Amino acid sequence: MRSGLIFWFLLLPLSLLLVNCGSPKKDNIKEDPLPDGTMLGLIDDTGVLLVIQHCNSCHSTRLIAQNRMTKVGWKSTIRWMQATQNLWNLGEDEALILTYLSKNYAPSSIGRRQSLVVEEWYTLEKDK
Amino acid sequence: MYICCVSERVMKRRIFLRQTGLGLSGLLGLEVVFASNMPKDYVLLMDLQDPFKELNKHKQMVILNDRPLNMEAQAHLLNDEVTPADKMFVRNNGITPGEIDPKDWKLLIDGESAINARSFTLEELKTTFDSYTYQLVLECGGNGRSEFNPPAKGNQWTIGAVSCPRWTGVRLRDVLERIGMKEDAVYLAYHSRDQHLSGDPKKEAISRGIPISKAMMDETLLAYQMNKKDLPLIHGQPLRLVVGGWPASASGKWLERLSIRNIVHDGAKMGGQAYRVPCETVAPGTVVPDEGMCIIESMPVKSLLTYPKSGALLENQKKLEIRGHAWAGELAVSAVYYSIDFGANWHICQLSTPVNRLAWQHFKAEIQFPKKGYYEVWVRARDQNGVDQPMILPGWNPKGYLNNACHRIAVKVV
Repeated sequence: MRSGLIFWFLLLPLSLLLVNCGSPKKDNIKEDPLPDGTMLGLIDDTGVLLVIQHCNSCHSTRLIAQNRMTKVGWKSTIRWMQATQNLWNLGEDEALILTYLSKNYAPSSIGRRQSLVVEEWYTLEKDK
Repeated sequence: MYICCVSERVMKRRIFLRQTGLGLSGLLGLEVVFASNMPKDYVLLMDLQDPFKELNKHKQMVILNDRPLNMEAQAHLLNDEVTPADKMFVRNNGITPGEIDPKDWKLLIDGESAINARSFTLEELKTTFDSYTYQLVLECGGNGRSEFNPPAKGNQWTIGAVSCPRWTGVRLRDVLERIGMKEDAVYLAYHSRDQHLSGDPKKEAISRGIPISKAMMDETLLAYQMNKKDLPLIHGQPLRLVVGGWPASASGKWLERLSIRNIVHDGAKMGGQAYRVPCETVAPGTVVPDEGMCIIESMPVKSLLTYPKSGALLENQKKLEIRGHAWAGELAVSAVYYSIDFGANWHICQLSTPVNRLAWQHFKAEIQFPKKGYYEVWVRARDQNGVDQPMILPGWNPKGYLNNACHRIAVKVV
């Protein structure tokens, strides 16, 4: 068993020479599942696999799905990640990624204060 | 560049290793660039079967992001006067490190302005210095970000990135006085054991700090306990900073090293736009250059209605007791008011005094509703300088910090 283990520890760096980052894998959060019909929680649209391939190796797709930006905003976020967070040059994929993000995760004007949303009304017991 | 080629065989081997219970999260983390540099005990959330159970978190906590882990409470979960560990928010910037044996751990204190740089074991800290216990508010600087319009980048916190547990540790000032500080000391910086998301060992996930004046306050702790128990891993085991009333990013977790700096600390997330707001207020949507951004220090006055949960139906009753907490960063809260008519009229709540400086205070009131219908209960706190919470999002800023707009719940009298 131990020698097998050592073998795999040796193999790991070798495999990393070939792969800068691996395939994204569905995470295992049972209690908080990602929405059906999405790709790792992202809207299934042209470019989504590129987004997953480039982004999901460092951070969760949940971080993308909760943000809303214009094309300029997404581009500046990519530039910030390239300048400070070790994100690589996206090459030809960048335009496709920016189109995907700015189409599917664009800001909508929510105003200064939205109406309260109540998920479920419930009867409040008289004696707490 | 990212082209991937984890073979089916490697995948199967990984699963096999996992099933044999060897706990090799590092091996499983092939997705992470520089994974070969990752210590084998690093915990990736995606490897947890049930994060709520394994992290001892309440089932109703809300996961905003699983890599890095960011989790917030809901208002009604925060009703306790002392926040239990399972209801405290989690804001990680990097990869959660594995638990370590405190016997294998030391805290190094150095820096340009340290006179006698040295290390302490946890036992040395506990036996050399007196211990103190304070209830201290930690609130994420970005709590409330989800209300920003135009939206601000980052985790979209609603109202639940705040808590006030009871912390036990030694005073940072006692430790700094033992080390001795040169006259040019201006900042205390922390360095932590968590790893950068990219796995790059040359990068720190976060390394922030506080001015020496804040470091020297009695309530600024190097804490090893939370609510009388050793720090949970996710909250910084074995030792963390607790800097009450300031953005919680100042309260570094998993400490390895503190540096007494002769400059304002320049570590990760100190510069650029991180934990900074425009030095001069700007119109919503303005692009502000880095040099126009100033570091956030004390958090603003704020309050939270924790009882009842929003959505309460009052049947055959028109009375309602409300409860919650109020806090004001570096200051105390002098009053809390409630309104049931969208801010037209305000009524004063009963307000407790804080158990110690920088602890939150508790308010309550009994509301008599005039007739059936839909109501919103709004609360508004006032700090000791007479400054109130705003009704709506205050000063828009590019990164979405410091939203202290009043909290509201919905109630129907039926």
